Amino acid sequence: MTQDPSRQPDQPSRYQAEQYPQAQYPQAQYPQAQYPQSQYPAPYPQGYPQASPVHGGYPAMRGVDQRTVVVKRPVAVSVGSVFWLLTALSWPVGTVVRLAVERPPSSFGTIVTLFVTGCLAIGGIVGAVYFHNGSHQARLVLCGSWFVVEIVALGMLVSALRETVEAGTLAVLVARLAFPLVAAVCGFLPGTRHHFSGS
Amino acid sequence: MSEILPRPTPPAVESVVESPAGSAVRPDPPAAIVLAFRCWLAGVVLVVLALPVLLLTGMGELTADVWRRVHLADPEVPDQAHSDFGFFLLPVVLLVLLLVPAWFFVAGAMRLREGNPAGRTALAGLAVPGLAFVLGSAWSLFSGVVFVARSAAVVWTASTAGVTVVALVAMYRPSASEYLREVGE
Repeated sequence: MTQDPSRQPDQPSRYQAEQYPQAQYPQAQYPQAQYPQSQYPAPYPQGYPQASPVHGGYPAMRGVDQRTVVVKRPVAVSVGSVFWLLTALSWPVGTVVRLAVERPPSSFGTIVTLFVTGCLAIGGIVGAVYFHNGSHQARLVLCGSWFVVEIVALGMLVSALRETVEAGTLAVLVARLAFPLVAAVCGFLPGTRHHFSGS
Repeated sequence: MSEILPRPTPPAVESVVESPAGSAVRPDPPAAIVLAFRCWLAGVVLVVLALPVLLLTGMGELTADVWRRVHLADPEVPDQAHSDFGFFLLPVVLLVLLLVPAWFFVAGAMRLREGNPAGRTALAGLAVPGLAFVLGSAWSLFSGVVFVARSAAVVWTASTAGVTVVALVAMYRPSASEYLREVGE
């Protein structure tokens, strides 16, 4: 096969130009500059397998390790997850307990309270699941949002203690105050940091 | 020596939208997801804004009823309101209180539109207290616990329950499930 002697090495041949008139040849437009490679070493070892992005995995691990290495969940995180769940459930269940103990007359306010506490519980359960799975955003959001809720719970406890209060009501109010405190402390105990480092 | 390059093909899918990073593509949400998203937002507006306004329409009857009860409990108290301003704060307090669950619904709806399966799960869970609240509110509106016009109560109950059920059904349509499976992975 003969070649056109006037054609430059980076230009397409006549056959290529006829078959692919719109084709882009980046080699011809942008000839690669020859840099001395020894002066610009690669920022990472070239021969090692690189970490592959695994959804929900740990970024410090290679792709194969994401499936072969088991990261043990700290006990404090598991205990914290349980207490976040108890915190979330303490509001709607506590409202039902208070209604059963105090037996107030039925009103629209009771329905609104059950609705608000029910939605609060759903949000808390979702946050506790994310917390259990290692989301550091969930840990911060749970602590921050429940700090506001704790102020409400403290106000309810103080106002209830000013008058005669049933034992069930007192247990509900104390539980609403104590559960998130225990959960927040468990989430920040030493040894829990690596569990939240993947997010 | 140069190689023969294949003819560049235009993007086949016209509905893909490049992310700001330009690396990943995300398809547009299907109509079922958009419908569910809009229905959840409509439900939030109906509960957070329309319900307090609805209560304002019956504030005169509520004020008279409360003062009548107070007078029955203590005859020394005159059967007349000295100041009704406090009663008009009740819908405002209700609006502020309902903003808390509204935030959960809006956040879940936005996650759903983004293709996060956890948003659909959270919304399905929120639908339980949501529908219970609509039924409880309907009982309050129709049994005389809350004083509102019956026609307005019918419209509010039907529209709120309707958009909730439509949103619940729409986000579990096959096209919505396929979208969440595709984007969520």
